[in-house]
Amino acid sequence: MKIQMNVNGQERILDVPPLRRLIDILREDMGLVAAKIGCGEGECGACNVLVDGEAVSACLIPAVQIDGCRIVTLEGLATSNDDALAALHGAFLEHDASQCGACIPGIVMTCRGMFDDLRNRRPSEAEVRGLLAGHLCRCTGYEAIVRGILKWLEMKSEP
Amino acid sequence: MSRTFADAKVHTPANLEEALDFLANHANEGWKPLAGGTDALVPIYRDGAEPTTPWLNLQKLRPELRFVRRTSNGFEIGALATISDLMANRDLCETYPIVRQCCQHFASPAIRHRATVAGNLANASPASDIAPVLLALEAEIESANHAGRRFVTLDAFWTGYKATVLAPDELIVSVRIPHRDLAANASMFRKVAPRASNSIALLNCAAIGTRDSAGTWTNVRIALGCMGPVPMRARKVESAVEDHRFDDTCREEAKALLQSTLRPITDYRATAEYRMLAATNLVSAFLDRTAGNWHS
Ligand SMILES: Cc1cc2nc3c(=O)[nH]c(=O)nc-3n(C[C@@H](O)[C@@H](O)[C@H](O)COP(=O)(O)OP(=O)(O)OC[C@H]3O[C@@H](n4cnc5c(N)ncnc54)[C@H](O)[C@@H]3O)c2cc1C
Ligand code: FES
Ligand code: FES
Repeated sequence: MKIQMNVNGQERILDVPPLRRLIDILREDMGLVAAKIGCGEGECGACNVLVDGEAVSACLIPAVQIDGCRIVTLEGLATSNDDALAALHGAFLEHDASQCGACIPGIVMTCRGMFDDLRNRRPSEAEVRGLLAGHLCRCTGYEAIVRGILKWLEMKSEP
Repeated sequence: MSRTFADAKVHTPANLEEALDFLANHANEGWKPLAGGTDALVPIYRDGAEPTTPWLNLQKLRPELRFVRRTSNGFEIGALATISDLMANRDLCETYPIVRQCCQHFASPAIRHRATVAGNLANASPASDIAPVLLALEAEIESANHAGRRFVTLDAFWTGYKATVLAPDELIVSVRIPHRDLAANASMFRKVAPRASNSIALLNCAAIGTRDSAGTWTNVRIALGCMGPVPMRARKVESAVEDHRFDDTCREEAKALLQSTLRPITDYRATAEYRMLAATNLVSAFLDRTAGNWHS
């Protein structure tokens, strides 16, 4: 089937089978490999990208459901000089939040998806941990990741 | 190269009317609705099942059916409203704090953005987290086929393990919560699971009711998940505590009633004995509450 979508700001028309997974379309058909395949069943968050502004797991989304949608991957944030990404990047570097890095693109997309909701208030540490509920970090660097996100939010709430 | 599912059959109607006409004209062909896909697609993507089911993709019905709103009779949750949409509705979450409690322990933020309330109920899993909450709030299902609409109370909606009253040509249109519990001063949602989020419940419990300053309970409704083939109300316990204080006699009676009416199973996640003990403790924990506003 033909699907039309906007990926990282560019209009694309693809001819794909209706149940092909979004993660495979991104990685194999379009060469966008920042989103990773971890579990392939919605548990680990390594494949998270933004669809119409919401962070979702691309391993569970069929082609037919992205027709007409706006998709943003980490590559898209990186090339659009996204301020929120730059700030998160800095906070993660400061706190050594990334070890092997496999889980990080997904975590970044989840954080970015919540940005508008989080920017005007300071969520508690518990809430930040709740945000990470759908992410598995096999290097078990959760503490550093939580500290990095809290630092990022501190920077965000400065004028 | 990953699987392409070249033979999969999917049809995407443009609106609700078209969807219902399509189902009417293709009865007996096995078409199944596809909402967020977080249950429907897992056997195909994770377990490698062949995609033999033809799917009726409901995504283009979002403008019509993705809403959560208050009406004069209660709250209406459109069939394509997600768990995130419930959490984002402050009015609903402040009126019934157990809705927010439940959603916070439902899957992960990314799954909550896709998972619909209607899909969860239609999936008819005994481990559904939202089911006990909606049972306790006496929700109703509004469904439709090409000929018209009907209402079914949620506790009559499931007919057995993974089975519902829905006919093959029927879709859930909305889930309705009647304005019945606005005066309740106690409510609780608890999910017993290996992790606080993103894991399947070993059992869960939602309860709501009103307790006066003397400790007398009224309008108590208690619902449990994973304690039988479908999520269910503990009606006998509700009647036993109605207009009573939860004293030692009442406690023993409630315990005996739970043991004679619940039918938990033993599986790889927990034993029947464990589930029974935990369910009894959760129900007692709720009814033990002292007077005053208490929502958790
Ligand atoms: C990683 C992960 C974690 C999860 N965690 C939880 C959890 O903590 N708690 C929990 O309760 N669930 C959990 N789930 C399951 C939950 O996501 C689903 O039950 C979800 O709510 C189903 O909604 P959906 O829109 O994805 O439905 P789909 O998967 O699209 O459909 C589910 C079923 O409902 C039918 N259906 C859908 N819409 C309609 C309609 N309008 N009318 C008639 N039939 C319809 C479909 O045909 C199908 O049989 C989890 C799932 C995953 C993948
Ligand atoms: S690969 Fe998608 S959630 Fe793990
Ligand atoms: S940094 Fe290695 S998996 Fe998270």
